[in-house]
Amino acid sequence: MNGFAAILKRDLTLALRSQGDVMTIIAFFAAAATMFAFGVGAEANVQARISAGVVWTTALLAALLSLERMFAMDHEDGTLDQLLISGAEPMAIVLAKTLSHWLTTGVPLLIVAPAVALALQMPALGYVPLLISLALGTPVLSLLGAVGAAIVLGARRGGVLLSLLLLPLYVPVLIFGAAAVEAAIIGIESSAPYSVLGGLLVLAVTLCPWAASIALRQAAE
Amino acid sequence: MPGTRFPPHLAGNLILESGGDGLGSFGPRRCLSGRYFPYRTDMSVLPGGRRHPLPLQPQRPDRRTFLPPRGRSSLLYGPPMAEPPFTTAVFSGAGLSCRRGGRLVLSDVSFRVAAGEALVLRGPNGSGKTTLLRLMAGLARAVAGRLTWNGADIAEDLPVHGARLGFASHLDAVKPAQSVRENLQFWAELRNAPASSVDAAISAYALDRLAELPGRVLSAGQRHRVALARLLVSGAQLWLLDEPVNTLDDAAQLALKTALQSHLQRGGLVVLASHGETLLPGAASLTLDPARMNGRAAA
Repeated sequence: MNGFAAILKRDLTLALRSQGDVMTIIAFFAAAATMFAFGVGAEANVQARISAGVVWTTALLAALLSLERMFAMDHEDGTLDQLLISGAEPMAIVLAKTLSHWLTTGVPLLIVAPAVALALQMPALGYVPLLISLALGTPVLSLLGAVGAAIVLGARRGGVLLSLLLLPLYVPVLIFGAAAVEAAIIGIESSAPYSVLGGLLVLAVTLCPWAASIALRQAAE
Repeated sequence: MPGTRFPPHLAGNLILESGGDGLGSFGPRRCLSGRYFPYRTDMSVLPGGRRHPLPLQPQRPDRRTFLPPRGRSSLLYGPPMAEPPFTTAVFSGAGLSCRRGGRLVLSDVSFRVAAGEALVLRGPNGSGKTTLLRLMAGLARAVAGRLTWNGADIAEDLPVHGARLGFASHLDAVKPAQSVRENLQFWAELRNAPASSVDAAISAYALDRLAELPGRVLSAGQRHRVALARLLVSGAQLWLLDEPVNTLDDAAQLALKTALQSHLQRGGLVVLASHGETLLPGAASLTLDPARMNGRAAA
C-alpha cells in the first residue's frame, strides 16, 4: 500500500497537534450521556435499564460529529488533489484516513465509555460486553463514515447531509451493539450480537474503502 | 536603554529584521528580542489596542542578523540543482472536451508537449485553463478525447500518471499546523523522494528562514513558494502550473524562472497557465477562446 504509512503518520501528527478536536468529541460524548441521566432522573433501575442504549447512541453521535472533517479539510486546502496525484492508490488514502479517524475518535471513546457507563449506573456485568461491542462497532462507524464523508465532499451543509445519510446505515451497529450489552446485563450468555458485529466489520472493511475511493475521485472532479 | 544607537523615531517601537538582503519581504520577520512576530512592522500596539508583551525598548542588534548568510548569492537563491536527466517522453491530448456544471468549458482541444518543451495556456478568465490542467493531471474527466503519455492512455493507470506529474494549483495544500519543512518532508516521503531533495527545494525558493515556521503564519506568497517547492520535491517529470506568479514577488518569480529552466534542461515537461507574463519566453502557446470554444495551437 504505497503512501498508506506516510498519510497515517501525518494525520496522526496533525491530530496530536490539534488535540482540541479530539477533546471536543470526548466532551460531547460525556456531556450528552450525562444529559440522559438528568433527563430520566436519578432512579437507579431506570438508568441501569437504558444505560447500554444511551452509551451506544451518544458514542455513535460523537463519532458522527467528527466525520465531516475526515476529508473536508484536505479537500478545501487542495491536499486531497495533491494526494490523488502523488501516486498513492485512492484506496490507500481512504484506509489511512479511516484508520487515523478510528484511532483519534473510536479509541478515545472506548477509553471514556466505562466512565460514562458508571455515571449511568450500568450494572457491573455490562462493562466488558460494552467494551467488546464498542471495539467491534466503532471501526464500522468510521468505515461507513468514510463513505459518507467522501460522498458529501463539496456539498454545502455537508454536515447535516452526512447525518441524514449515515444515521440509517448506523442502525444495525446500534441495535447489535446495545443488544450485546443488554443481554449480558440480564444474564444471557450469547455470542450472537458479537458475531453479527464482527460480520458487519468484515463487510465494512471489504466494501467501504472501495466505495469511498470512488467517491473521492468523483469529488476531485 | 542608554547608549543605544537607534534613531530616536524608532525608540519604543518594535524593530523588525528585514532579512538582511534589502528585499524586505524575505525571511521571517524576527523581533530583535529573538521571537517571531507575524504582524506588520512598526507596531507597538497590536490589533485590538493591546500593547505588545515583549519589551518595547529597542535592544542592541545582534550584528549577525543584519548580514546575509555566508556563501550565498545576494539574491539568496542557491544554484540550480544538478539532477540526472529524465527519459524522453511525449504528453499529448487530442479532441478534448470537458463539461463542468452542465456547461461545456472545453471543446475539441488538442496539444502536444515533448520532453524539454513547455506549453503556455492562454485565454481570458473562464476560458478553461484550470479545467484543462486538471484534465492533464487526471483529476477531472473528459467527456470526449484522450490524453496519452508516450502513446498510452493516462486513464489506464491514474496513480502511475499522478506519480510522474506535479501540480501547482491555486490551492497551496500547506498544512497550518506543520512547519514548512514538515510539509515538504511529507510529500517527499509520499513520493519516495530522498530527504536531501527537501533541503534543496527549501533553498531554491529561499525558504531557509521560514523552514521551521508553522504554515499558519505564512503569507499567501510564502505559502505559494512552499507549493512551488513541492514540485521540486516531487521529482515529477511533468509540471502543471496554474497562474503561478500571481502572489509572487520579483525575487520569487526569478527563482521560479530558474527552476523552470533547469527543469526543462533536464528533459522535463511544463504546462503553464498564464496571463502573459514572460516566464517562458519562446515557449509554444495554446490559446483557449471561450467564444469559439476551441483551442488553436500556435507556434
